[in-house]
Amino acid sequence: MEGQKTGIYIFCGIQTEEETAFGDFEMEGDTRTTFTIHYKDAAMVAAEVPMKIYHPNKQNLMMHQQILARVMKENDTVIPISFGNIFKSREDVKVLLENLYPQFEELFPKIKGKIEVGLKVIGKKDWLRKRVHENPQVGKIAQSVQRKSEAAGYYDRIQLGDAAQNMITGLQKEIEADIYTPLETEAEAAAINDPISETMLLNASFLINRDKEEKFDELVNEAHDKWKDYTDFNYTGPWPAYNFINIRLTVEEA
Amino acid sequence: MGVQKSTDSSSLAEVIDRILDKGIVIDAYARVSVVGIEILTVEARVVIASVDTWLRYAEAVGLLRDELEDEELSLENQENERNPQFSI
Repeated sequence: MEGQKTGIYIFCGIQTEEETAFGDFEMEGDTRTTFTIHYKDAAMVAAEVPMKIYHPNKQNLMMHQQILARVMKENDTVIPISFGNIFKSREDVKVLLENLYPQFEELFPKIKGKIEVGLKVIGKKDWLRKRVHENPQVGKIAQSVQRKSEAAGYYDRIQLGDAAQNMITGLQKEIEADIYTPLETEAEAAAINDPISETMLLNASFLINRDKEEKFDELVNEAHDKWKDYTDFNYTGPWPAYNFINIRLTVEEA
Repeated sequence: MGVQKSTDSSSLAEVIDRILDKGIVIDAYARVSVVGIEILTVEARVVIASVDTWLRYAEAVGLLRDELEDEELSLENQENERNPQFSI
């Protein structure tokens, strides 16, 4: 690495006044060490790495997340930073931290001791098909499509697509009322993101107290017991509060 | 228990869903976008002094910008290095 310029990669903000290392990690074949950069009771978890753009390939993304997971095991107040930010010097990171401090001060008490969990509910194909066929409106259009040639049935097909979409929207509302709403009342905060596939009926994140984690797991399991014949649950965590911290910074051209 | 929480590092899709554009996000020339539903949303406009001090992949390939700017055109020949799943 001799002669190569290095920069400071930042992973997350934490609340601490003690210098802390969160171990070594591999970045594109070389071993790097984590350290903290401090301002008052806030710190950035960072590492010195070659100054270049890191592409979000699987290895790099997992490396970022693994460091955050490691930090979360030792610190209960973690503010996640998005992937791939590198600053020229420790001094620059310190300036950034000083600028962010008013936000950090406000956020620390709100996220202390809390974790994010994610719940995606995906409709099983067989069940969705069954629901489609039970729908009288869809059944009628489908029959009419079958009787016609492909060209003649063109508008019926569009209608069929509309009807299927309406049906999925209806199921999403049903799942929201039956699964999301009760979980929301148990969480500190909750958020629904857009589904990332056609058969996804719920894409939610919840911010929960660490000491309520087990209870929340149980509630998710109760919902799963009720819905497992019709849907698949994808339940993940603990995550840092990615879906509940939204700080956008602007970089100005010098 | 029927459904176990999978550990956060196990699924690339779950990781991507979060770490590219959530948490603290630093955008060059960004419009500030606010998501309405999160109760902890902090809208901050902290201006970092200079682009010179900072590097970010997403910016370099225009991931966070709508329109191409001149400097990006020179980056076009790097496009084939992009992982296709980020071309959305």
